[in-house]
Parts: sequence; C-alpha cells; structure tokens
Amino acid sequence: MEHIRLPKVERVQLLDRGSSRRAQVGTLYLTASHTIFVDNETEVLHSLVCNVEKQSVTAFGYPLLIQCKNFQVIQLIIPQENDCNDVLMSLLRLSRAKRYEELYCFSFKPNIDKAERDQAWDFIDLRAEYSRMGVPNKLWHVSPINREYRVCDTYPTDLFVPKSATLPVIVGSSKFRSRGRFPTLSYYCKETQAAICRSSQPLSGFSARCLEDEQMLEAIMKSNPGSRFMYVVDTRPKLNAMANRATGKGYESEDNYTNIKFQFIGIENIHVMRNSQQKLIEVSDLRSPSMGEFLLGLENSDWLKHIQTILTAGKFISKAVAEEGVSVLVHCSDGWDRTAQVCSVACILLDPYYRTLKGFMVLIEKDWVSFGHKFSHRYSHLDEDPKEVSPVIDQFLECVWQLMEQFPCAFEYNERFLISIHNHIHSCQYGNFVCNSEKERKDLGEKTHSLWPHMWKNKSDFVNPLFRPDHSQTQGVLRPLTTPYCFKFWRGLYNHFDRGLHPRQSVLDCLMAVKEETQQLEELLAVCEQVGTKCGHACCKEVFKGTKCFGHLVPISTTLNNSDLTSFCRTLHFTSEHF
Amino acid sequence: MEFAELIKTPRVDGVVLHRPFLPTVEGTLCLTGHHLILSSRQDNTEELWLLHSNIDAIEKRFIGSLGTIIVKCKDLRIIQLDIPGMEECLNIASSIEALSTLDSVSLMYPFFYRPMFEVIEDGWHLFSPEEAFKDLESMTDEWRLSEVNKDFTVCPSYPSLVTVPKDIDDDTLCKAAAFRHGGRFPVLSYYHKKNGMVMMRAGQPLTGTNGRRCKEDEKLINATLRAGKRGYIIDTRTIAVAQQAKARGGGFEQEANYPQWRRIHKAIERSNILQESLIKLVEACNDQSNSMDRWLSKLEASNWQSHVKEILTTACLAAQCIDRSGASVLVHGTEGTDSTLQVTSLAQIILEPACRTIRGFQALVEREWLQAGHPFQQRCAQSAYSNGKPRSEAPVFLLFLDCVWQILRQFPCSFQFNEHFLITLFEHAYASQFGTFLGNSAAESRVKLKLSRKTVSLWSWVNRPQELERFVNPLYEPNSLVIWPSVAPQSLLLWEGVFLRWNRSTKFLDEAYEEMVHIIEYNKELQNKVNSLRRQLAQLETEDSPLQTP
Repeated sequence: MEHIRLPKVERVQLLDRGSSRRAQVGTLYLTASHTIFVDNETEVLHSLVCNVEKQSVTAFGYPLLIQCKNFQVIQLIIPQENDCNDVLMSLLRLSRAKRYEELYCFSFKPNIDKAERDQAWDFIDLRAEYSRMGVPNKLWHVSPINREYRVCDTYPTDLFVPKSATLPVIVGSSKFRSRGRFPTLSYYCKETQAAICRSSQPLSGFSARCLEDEQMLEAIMKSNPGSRFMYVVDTRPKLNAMANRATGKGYESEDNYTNIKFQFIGIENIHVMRNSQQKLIEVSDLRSPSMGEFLLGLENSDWLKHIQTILTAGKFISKAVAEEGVSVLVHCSDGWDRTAQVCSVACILLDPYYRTLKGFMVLIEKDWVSFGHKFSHRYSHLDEDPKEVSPVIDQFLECVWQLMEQFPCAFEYNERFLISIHNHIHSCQYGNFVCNSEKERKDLGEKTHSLWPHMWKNKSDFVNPLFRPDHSQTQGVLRPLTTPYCFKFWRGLYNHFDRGLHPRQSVLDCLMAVKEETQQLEELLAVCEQVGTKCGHACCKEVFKGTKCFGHLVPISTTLNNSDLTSFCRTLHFTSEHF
Repeated sequence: MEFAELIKTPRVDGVVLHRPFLPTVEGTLCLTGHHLILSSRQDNTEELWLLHSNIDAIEKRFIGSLGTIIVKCKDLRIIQLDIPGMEECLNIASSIEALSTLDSVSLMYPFFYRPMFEVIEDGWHLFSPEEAFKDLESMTDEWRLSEVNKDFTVCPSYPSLVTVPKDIDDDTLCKAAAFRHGGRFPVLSYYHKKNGMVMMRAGQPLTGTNGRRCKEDEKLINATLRAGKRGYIIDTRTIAVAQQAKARGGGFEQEANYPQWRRIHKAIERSNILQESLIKLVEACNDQSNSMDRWLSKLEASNWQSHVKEILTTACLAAQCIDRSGASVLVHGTEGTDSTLQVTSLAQIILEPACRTIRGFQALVEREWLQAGHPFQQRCAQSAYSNGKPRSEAPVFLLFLDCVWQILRQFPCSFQFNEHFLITLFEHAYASQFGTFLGNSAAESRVKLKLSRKTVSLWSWVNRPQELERFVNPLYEPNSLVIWPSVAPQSLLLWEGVFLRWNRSTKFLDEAYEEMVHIIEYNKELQNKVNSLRRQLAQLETEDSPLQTP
C-alpha cells in the first residue's frame, strides 16, 4: 500500500479505443492490486500493466496511456497535473513488482479453505498423465536421479528415461548438456512405441564428444524396438547453432552419434520473437489503418512466419512419431523455450487427449511448468531484465488457435479458453505460473491458489459446442496444412478489447445457448417419460392445475414422488412460457 | 452456324483427367456444343460435365506425343486433361477455345437447356417493378411508377418502369436523362421506411468542361428532399477522377447549382483495375510455392481486400447518411452501372432486413443489378485467368458478393442464406444453364433476347424446396435492426470459400457446418416433442375445465 500515492481521483475521463463512443467520466481508484474505474466495468490488475506513459496535455487534462500485457490499451485523462503524476508514479511502481511476494497471487484470497486449496493443487497429476501415456513400462521408468534437483535444478524431480540408461550414463550426459538438461521423456506414443524426448544443446563445441551422451541417445533409440534410427531435431536456425559451437556448445554430429538423423528447424530466438510481436502489436494498434498498411505491417512483423515454422516443426515430429514410428530428441539452446513449443505442438497434433480441456491443462503443466519454462522471466512478472522477456507461450497458444481454425470440431475447448490462459499467465492471480522452475515454485502451494480447478468450474464458458468425443475429426492425429494462406491474424487475442472489430453476433455463443437449451429439453423429456410410465396423464392433470412457474429442473430420479411431479409440471409450464 | 463445324474431334479415348481433391480418372472425352464431358464408362464413377462457357482459358503442353490441356475455369478451378496423340490434343484444344468464346449470346447454353425439374414458380415473374412499387405505395405516396422508358429510348440500360418523385413529370425526366451519362437520370433505389429517407442512383452529370447545368435534373433530385433538409451526393470516384471526367463530357454536381446537397467523394476503383486485382489475387492463391512473405506481399499487392474495404466503407457511408443523419442520398460514379450498384445494394443489405432473406436477396439482385442494367455479359465474359487484352470484364458483382459475405461473417445469425448461396450466385453469374445473368440490360435480355420465354430463370431452380434447403443458414433469426459492419482490416477476411476453394480441402470445415446443422436440428426436434406434450396436457386440462368453471 505504501506505493499508492493517491488512492482516488475524481472526474477522470476514460477513452475506449475500441468504440467511437464518447469518453466516460468517472472516479479512478488505485488499490493494492487493481486500477478501478467507476462507473464502468474497467478494472485492471497492476500485474497486467506493461507500460504507463504520460502523453502531452490536452484541453481536457493530462492523458495517461496504460498498455497491458493482454493487449488492452486504456487512455485516462486526469484533470490535474499533480494527480496525473501521482497516478503515473504509483502505477509505475505497482506494476513492476520487485519481489515475488508483491504479486497478486499472494494476496488473492478466494473463499476456499485450506483442504480445498491443497486438493486444488493436486487437480493436475503428472504421474497419472505419464501412466495414461503408458509409462512406466518395460522399457521406460522413472529415474530418481533428480531428487532434490541434484542433477538439474530446472527440471522436475520425476523424470522418465530409458530403463537401459544407467545412472552414470545419465549423469555423464547431463554434464555434456547446457544447464544439465539431459535427454528425457516428454511424450510416449503407445501405438508406435516411439517417444518424444527433450534436452538442451550438447556442449560439443567444434569437436568435443561425450560417450555417455552418445549412449544416452542410443538408449532412447533402442527403447523404440521397431526403429533403427532416431531423429535429433535442433529447433534453432543452423547459423545460430553453429555460432554456439564457438562458445563450446553446439549440436550433435551424425558422425559421433550412431543412427541419428539430424535436422535443423530454424525457429528464431527469443529476441527476434520479442521484436516480431512488438511489431505485430503496433500493427494491431494502428488507428484506422488502410488495408495496405495493415497487410504490409503484418508481413513486416514476420509473426505469421514464425508461427508457421513452429507448427511445421510440430508437424514434422508428430509425423515421425505417429507415421514413421521413429523417436525424436528435440532441443534448442537451453531446451525451455522452442523445445517446449515444438514438443507441445507435436503433442496436440498426436494425442486427442490434449485437445480436451483437462488434457490441455495437463499439457501446459507437463511441457511448460514442470520442465522449467521461465514464466517469470518471459512474461516479466518482476521488474527484471527486459531482454529475458519473450512471447514464447503466446506462440504456442496461437499455434493451437490456428489449428482450431483448420479443425473446428477437434478441440473440446474454444478460443476463449486460450485467451483466458494467456491472461492468467501474465496476471499472476494464481500461483501456477509464478517463478521460473519447479524448484523455485516448491513452496507456492501453501501461499497461492491453483488456476486449473477454477477454470474447470467455469468450463461451460470454455467448451467448443462443435466438439463431440465420437466425431471423426476428434480422433487420431491431426495433419494440418502449413501453406501460408492457412495462417491468419489472431484478432481474438491481439484486438481482444476492441469490441468493434469482432463479429457482432457470435456463432460460438449462439451454439452454446442452443446446446444448453437442448440439454434442458432432454432432461425435461426424460422426466416426462418417467411421469408417463408412472401414472399416465391423470396424474399430470392433477398436479398441473394452476401451478405457476419458477422451478428449476428436477433431477431425474428413478422413483418420482408427488413433489417431483409438481416441479415437473412447473417446469413444463415454465418452458411453455419461454419457448 | 452449326456447333459441329467447331468440333474438330468429338471424341478421344484414353484421356486422363486430373482435378482438385479427386482421384485421377481415365476415360473417354466427348465434346458437345456446350459441354466438355469425360466418361470413365464405369458405374458410380464421378464424371466431368463442364460447360464450355465456364472455361476461362486453356493451356497446351506436349511431351512427346502426349498432349496436356490445362483448363482454367471461371469458377477458378483448374483441371488437367492428358490426351494421347498430338493431333487429337490440338483439335480438342482449338475446339474448346472456339466453343468457350462464342460471340453470339443466342448460341449460349441457356437457350438449349431444358430443365429436368418441373418449374413450379417461374422465377421470371417473381420480381416485377410493379410488385416492388406496391410495397412502396403502402409506405408512401410521394413516388410514382413512370413509363417514360417503356421502349428503352430514354435510357437503354434502365428497365421500362422506374420509380421517380410523384411531382416530376416524364418531360422533366427526359431532360434530366439527357444530362446524365447513358441517360441514367436519378431514380429511386431504396426507401427507408423508418424515417422516409431515400437512396437514389444515377449516371454522372454531363457538366463537361464548361460547367453545363440542367434545371430539370436539379428539380428532380430536389423533389426528394424534405423542406429545409440537405441531402448527400455520394460520388464513388475520387475528386481527381471526377475532375478528369469533365474533359470527356462527364463531371459532378457543382455546389452552386445543387446548394441543398453535400457531395462526398470516395475511391472505388474502375473495372479494369478490379479485373487486374482479381487476376493477381487468384495468382497469389494458386501459387503453392509461396513463402509467408511472398504470400502476404502478393495478397497486399493484389489490392483485392482494399477494394472490399473501400466498397463496404462507401456503402456504410450511404447507409449512415440515411439512417443516422436522416438525409436522402444520391449515389453515382461514372456510368452508374458498377460501383454505384455495389454501394446501393450493400447499403440496402445493411439497412433493410428483408434483403437478408433468400427471397429478398434475389429481389435485390433483380432490382439493383439485373434491372438496374449492370452489364453482366460484358463484365463476366472472363474471370481470373483471362490473359488477353482486357475489354470490359470486371469482377464487380463478385466484389459485391464478397462484401455481402464479409457482413454475413460479422452477423452470422442475421442472414437467411449461407455462404453456399453466395458462391452459387458467383458461379451462375459467370457460367450457367439458366438465362438470368445473360445480356447486359433489361432492354437487351427481356426484349431482344426474349430470355423469359426462351430460357429458365435461376430463381426457378434455386427456389425449389430441395435446392433451397442447401442455401438456408441454420443460425438465422430475423433481425429487424440496421447492421453496421466493421470495415477495419482486422475484420475483413479473405473469402476462402471462393479463392481457396480449389486449393485446400474443406472437409473439416464442411464437417463443422454439418455439426452445427445437426445441433440446431436436434434442438428443434426436442422442442417439437415438448410442444406436442404441452398440447396434450393443455387438452387434458380443458377436458377438466367444465368442472372448475361455474
């Protein structure tokens, strides 16, 4: 609270970029966690603010531009200069947390008790997930090697490795890899026995070799009995990987590793991606651009090219695993950005489970949270090095969105689910994404809440009405097209708050409403049938007289008593008035 | 002329057909007067029946004695025929070329086509100006139906009946006609019931370099204004283009002579530029080797989306003047047969809910395009693969359909028809067994060609219940409001249903559409069940009631 210089300013104007409506006048409140504008629903979490800027004075007062990490842009006009400065200074400090403890998740106290909170943290169980995949089995097991994060402090404690890889091999391999991130299982395909493994780059330099590391890859290859080779996919551009050799890092040589096929993918590094997204945001923020300006801006940002590259990489891997039955080792430099993107995209393509609500939560926990994707660095949760910031998971979420556009029936969740997750990754309202590794996050469970059960409770908002578990599009491997015209600008995310730009009627909402009504009708008809069999029309007639409607639907029970009948008739009456 | 003279080789065996998404077929190729037919002579195999008039361009290639003909269709599809024998291939190619570029309209297929269905409701008589006028009469008595053009002499591109202000006599109309390009004097296009404002359209005024004026023209359009009210003239050309038109005898309304009107210039491009744009766009869509950069820069360079944006923006402007500013509007460009009609018809889609129904849209196309004299024959003579010197072809109507599709995407529940309906209209405008889009004006098609007697109307077919079913939007809920589309670049999309139709399979999107239909139909089924139950109960209740009521 000590950072709030001014808790309340009156007669502030709020300009909505998205609509042509006049500015609204109201009162601005600064709280420990939010900026609130009354009377209007505008409420912005401090942790979502990425930039506050004072603009040149106008006839109405002193404008303040607030840009948020969820791409919301708010313009306030404050009558007095002093007030404006105070709000600016307060917001600058409040939006740049110095310590984790300042983040909103530590003060966010939803009304649930400790037991429920603890349970919520167990909502996603990665052990269960690996066993769903089919490991441990006779070729793969959990290695105790990283207990207490002894070998690699950015990896989870529980890691799956080939049974044939001995402890010395793993330790040796770990020493030959950046930050000790040795090859370990990310996804196992039961049908083909092929695996996706992930790691960081080898410390090969120009010529260094490591017998254990070579044995490690050999063990992975052999854990897939059907295949005689494996792919090693370096997701970086070849030039970048070669440059790394000069610093003692690099990539695997096909000469040293037997039976590998080596492949570069060419996904650019975090700095290129940061700049690219910055350009994209500028394009989406243009005020009434011409079509030419917009398309040129989109092209110059290179953003869709990067998305295309990532999706193409995922497709390559899913094809190797599902169609060729060949295992793949994926790495980049440290193996926590591009590797996470590519592995998780491949998983989405391979396994229908990850296209369900629960499965997607599991996937983010598995490939991103547990494997040390540096959430706090990448999404600037704290006021730290801006060069560490990069939209890595944005790109993954966008790949999924692009896939949804191609396969509208294949996903149980909808676009809102992705956007909501994007929002939560940046907002730090829940503890899931705070810190940079599982090790750092160890004690957060006691102090913060988990996002996933909260989303699960609200899942009706996030469901894709076109999804049906038995639909043919839902089954099996997705084989997306990656021709350039298949990639579109993601208006739903980048112009999320510009309501004027979106379709004025939503097919999604419409179908959701229809499905909800259908469900009510189904329940009603089920009750009707039971009433019919139990007492025929006479009974209905009896209870129907003069009843008024307020009732909710009665749960369907096997034996209906009189009060059930009453509410049934109420319901019927209710529907007769509303349909 | 006999078609047989043009068919050098009527039949070739062992021809291999390649086409998008379907397996290659080997069979016998036959040429008839109007069709290119490939038959595999096996049961249950897809055969190709292609109208010669659908062929936009062909290319020949030879490898040894194996010839290949690439057939590029006006609906943008590309098919390939491998023909054994060089001579046969050359003969087929030149025959197709001749048959697909017949000059005489009366040789076109619609004059030979006999429907395989019973015409229940003749589309030729569905939408008459008299009917439309009856509707208008029920709302206002300020307009009349004039027969001044009954023999098409005052304005060859207008229908015989036009709606004009009641107080303006035919003599005044004739004088105004002499002052407007192509004799297209201002006529009523749309009456906005909500506030009584109107939209008119015309050709450009022939002011020329010395600023000619025409009192009758001024009187005519002023007659549409309420006392003390101003109106808007929307000139679809930029001021620079309008200025240049003066040198060729055209021009625009001078403020001094039209003090009650405010003129606004927009920038809808002329036909040859639109044609070039279509060619570039389709070239970009068909280039499979594109990198992302190349694709986006070609898409941008085609300018197609810019045209869509400009046309929609102008239509919104016209609608805004009428609905929001409560002012009447006169729209024109140069001839008043292209960009003018894009604007007036789209403004009606925005303003008038009836235009968003299947029937209403047909009526709109009849009123604002066919009877309003859009030269379909000339504009749709060639499509995106035309490579010769462009004459007067231009995708003016396709751009209109694209704009409608954009609004449909933004208001998916407000249209009774679906995307498929729009695509069907696109196809039939370029090549059809029906006579609806033949000719260049009402005078030509109705009178000279006797289309209504000699050909079948597209609407006769479209309105059959079994066809209609495919065109109905399952999400449709009548929406009585004005629908304002967003024209921001982020909101305007490439119309994949037309431009990527033959480049990528729509299997998954079609499945999604079917799923949507299924969800809605199932819901209706349950509603019907509940309703019938409710009726049963109500009936039982009334059987009871004598006991209760004294």
